[in-house]
Amino acid sequence: MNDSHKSTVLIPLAALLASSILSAQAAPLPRLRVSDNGRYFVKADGSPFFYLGDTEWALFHLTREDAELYLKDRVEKKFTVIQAIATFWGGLDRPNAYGETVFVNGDPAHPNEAYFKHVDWVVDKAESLGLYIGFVPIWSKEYVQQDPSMLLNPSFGPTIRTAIRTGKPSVVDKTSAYNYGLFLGRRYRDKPIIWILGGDWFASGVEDVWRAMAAGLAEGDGGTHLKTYHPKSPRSSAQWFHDDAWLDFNMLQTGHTALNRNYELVAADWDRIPAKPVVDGEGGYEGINDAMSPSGNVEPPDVRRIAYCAVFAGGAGYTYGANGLFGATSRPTDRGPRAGRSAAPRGAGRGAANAGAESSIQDEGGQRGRAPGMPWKEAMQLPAGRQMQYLRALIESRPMLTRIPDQWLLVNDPMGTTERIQACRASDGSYAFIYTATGSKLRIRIVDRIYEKLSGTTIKAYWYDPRTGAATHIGDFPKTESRSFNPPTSGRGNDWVLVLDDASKNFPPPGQSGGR
Amino acid sequence: MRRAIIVLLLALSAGLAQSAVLPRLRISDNGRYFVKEGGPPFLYLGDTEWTLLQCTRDEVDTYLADRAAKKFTVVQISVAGFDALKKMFVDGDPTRPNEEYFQFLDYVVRKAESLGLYVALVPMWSNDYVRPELNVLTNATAFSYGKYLGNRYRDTSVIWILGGDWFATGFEDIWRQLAAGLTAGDGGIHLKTYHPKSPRSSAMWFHAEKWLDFNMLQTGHTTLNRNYDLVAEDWARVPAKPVVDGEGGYEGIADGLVPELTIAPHDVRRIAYSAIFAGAAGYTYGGHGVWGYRNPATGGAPSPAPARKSAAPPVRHGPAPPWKEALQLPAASQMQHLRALIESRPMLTRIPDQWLIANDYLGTTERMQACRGSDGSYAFIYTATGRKLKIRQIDGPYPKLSGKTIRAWWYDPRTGSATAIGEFEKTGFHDFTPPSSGPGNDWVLVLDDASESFPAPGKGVLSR
Repeated sequence: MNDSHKSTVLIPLAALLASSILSAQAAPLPRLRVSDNGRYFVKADGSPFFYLGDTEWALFHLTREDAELYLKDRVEKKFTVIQAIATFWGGLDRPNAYGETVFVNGDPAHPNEAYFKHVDWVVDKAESLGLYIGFVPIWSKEYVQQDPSMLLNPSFGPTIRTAIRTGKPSVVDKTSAYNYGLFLGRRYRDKPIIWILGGDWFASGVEDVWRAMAAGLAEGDGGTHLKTYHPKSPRSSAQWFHDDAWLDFNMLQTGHTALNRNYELVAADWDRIPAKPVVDGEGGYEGINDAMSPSGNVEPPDVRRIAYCAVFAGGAGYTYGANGLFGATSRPTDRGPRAGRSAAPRGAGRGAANAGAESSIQDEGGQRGRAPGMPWKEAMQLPAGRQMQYLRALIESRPMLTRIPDQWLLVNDPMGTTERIQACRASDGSYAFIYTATGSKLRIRIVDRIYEKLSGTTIKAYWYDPRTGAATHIGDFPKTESRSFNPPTSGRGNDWVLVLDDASKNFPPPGQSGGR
Repeated sequence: MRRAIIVLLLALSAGLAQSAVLPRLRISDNGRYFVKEGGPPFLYLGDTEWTLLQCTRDEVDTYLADRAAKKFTVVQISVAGFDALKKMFVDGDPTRPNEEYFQFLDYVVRKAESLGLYVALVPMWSNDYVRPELNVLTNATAFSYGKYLGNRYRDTSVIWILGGDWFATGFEDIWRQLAAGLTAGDGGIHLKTYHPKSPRSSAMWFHAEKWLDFNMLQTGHTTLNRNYDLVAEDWARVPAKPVVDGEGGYEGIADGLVPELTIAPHDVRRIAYSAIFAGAAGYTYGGHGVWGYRNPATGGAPSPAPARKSAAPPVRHGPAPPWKEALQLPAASQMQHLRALIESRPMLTRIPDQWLIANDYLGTTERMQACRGSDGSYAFIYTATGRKLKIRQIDGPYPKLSGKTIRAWWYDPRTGSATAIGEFEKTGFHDFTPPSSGPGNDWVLVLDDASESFPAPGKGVLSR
């Protein structure tokens, strides 16, 4: 663009852009597919896509106003995917903010047009803002039960009251799952959707129901949208479906605890053949009660550590979640217990904003108590929710598609859980990222005997701050066999990423754009 | 008559007119472990004396008798031990083996067999002799040397370890030729692997190759050894092949990564138990002062030389005790308790399972490592420092242990003694606090499905 024309052209262009966003008429978001090496996501033009999810399972139960408020907040915080459920918790007769239920008379063969009209609106709104929807067609734990003996299992019973009430182990069978999938696939064929089958549950015994739904979705949308499966913690979709062609990538649920060990699960999936991307789709929700952890809650340092570990261990993305927000609805009847942090007694649900759905979130072996969440609009502003964007910025500031996990960059002990150190690098050695959860001194193996972990002759080193996204240049130095680095601060909450570049690549400072 | 001639020819060509006294080894049907011909499982519990062929006959006898008494099952020996190239071959020509040299190897192999020990032979130590710039072996001479060895030791109880503390990168074909030669000589009846530079696996170059029967690791002479990571990587490979940590931390050696530390007995135990519980089919111990006894560069005595009275000046691995003392280092006697434990439960269905541990299993010096029968009949959980263990016995709808009643024991890796904790009803989680804690207070928690009525851990061999 010529400078002299700038003032005259910019204004109409900006106006055009603004109007297209507001009227949801923007060009559709690019389709996503799996990168050629099977490890990551790319857009239709081949450019990399980082799956940075937020969790608002009740998104379709928010009013338009609330949904818009929420989505705009999440775009501002640089999330790229929002995970939501078509059949929210609490029974198929639970209405959305406008009194509509997902199915007519709870029958999946009869989707309620009015309900899906609202879903359409939310999906369009998300698209206009640049967000993909991780769309769960039917929440497995509550509605797709397989093994009748689980109804008798004391640790699962309370979560599956629909099954108890209806006396049916599952709301859908193969036929209705296929047909419902077909309906959804056709309806959202041209929308920015990622299909997430399952929902916090085991597929054992109902694998064919999910296969039928996947087939219906593919028939409906022409196979244009990525598909995965969201399992019970701590495990992967790969347990049931890795070899299924419809499963484009694996999804993990890894545990709402500071003792989360998602790096192990990511590594296990990374090793599988054929290679498929893996996303930790549910780690530790920020602020959730965790009886197993020292602090009693999953706190911002835990959330950052879990997110960085997921990605540095080889994950193609991570999904954040905030207590108080992950199941927030707009229904007035849900509002009472949302008044404050201490309003809900122990046992009344993990987040007061999730009231009415408390029994959908199950206790793991009776280990965990429940903590009240804060009102969802406050929960949207929890610190780690804002800090996730720095993870995305870091990843996007270096070549994304050649990244490989490599714990052997570390000479010292990578430790585990709250003190974890997790490392990755480009397969061509152009850069390395090493995350330390507590600012441990890092001794880095740069040349491994005859193999160079980093290319070039000079290494440019930075500290990257996961709390602020700020990068500090440490210096440039000639490449040696190993080198020690002392983070600027240490102790709980003092997490740092050491960034090592092949200086000849002239990468921008970490977190700044210019990567590939 | 014809049969007699064939037998005679075979005997002559083998160069050893004796039949094998030990059963052949092969890979278990699930690809994970070793079994003896006829089916019983075999735990590869190795000791390291790379320079045994430079020792005297008396030393060989002493060494092998000691290692057999300590219940090792394999001894690892380098055929071309320190400074042996000129003695092995006439004029250093690998197509002209020196008969006298190999007669001594015959003696060593037969002596070991008579004591129940398999001999794992490294035909040509890569770090010293097989690197492209050294030009000792070529593709052609590797094949002919391999065929000579294979033929000579066809009817003995050997395991072939190619490589030797080095990378195969760029000359993989020499090893392929050596492997082909060995197979041409012995008919492929002896197991073959490759010994790499630390920290890595033979799988890096050869996993997909048919001649590689199992993977071997070298994992690091350091208290920061993380062999469990390497074992786990190999466990995940397809097709499944057994993996052996063929060189972990030698007892008493200077720590390669942490100045001023040496590998203590509890480090050795932790490295050995971590390897096995992570899914390895075996572990190879080494004692500083034994492993390179005849190589002065490793703190040993030059050959030929009288038995040393004191340690040679330290070179780069720290001072070593005199050979006879080094044979009696504490962890050398403790490795047999690991073998006894593994053999007292069904060996072939064992799988690694860190998700048995609900608390943080930590790393290196504080490691916890867990495995169990795939049918849930038993579980072993090792804690290097006697940490409290929170055990996940039921994982959602999936029980990790079978039966209704769990029988628990503490097993002491220092003494091999087992203490009954009691029996209790199976629940989702159960906490266990070891009898003692801190560095050196390692323990194995043994959990049995009580209905299996297993013997006390470490007692009795199940043969399955």
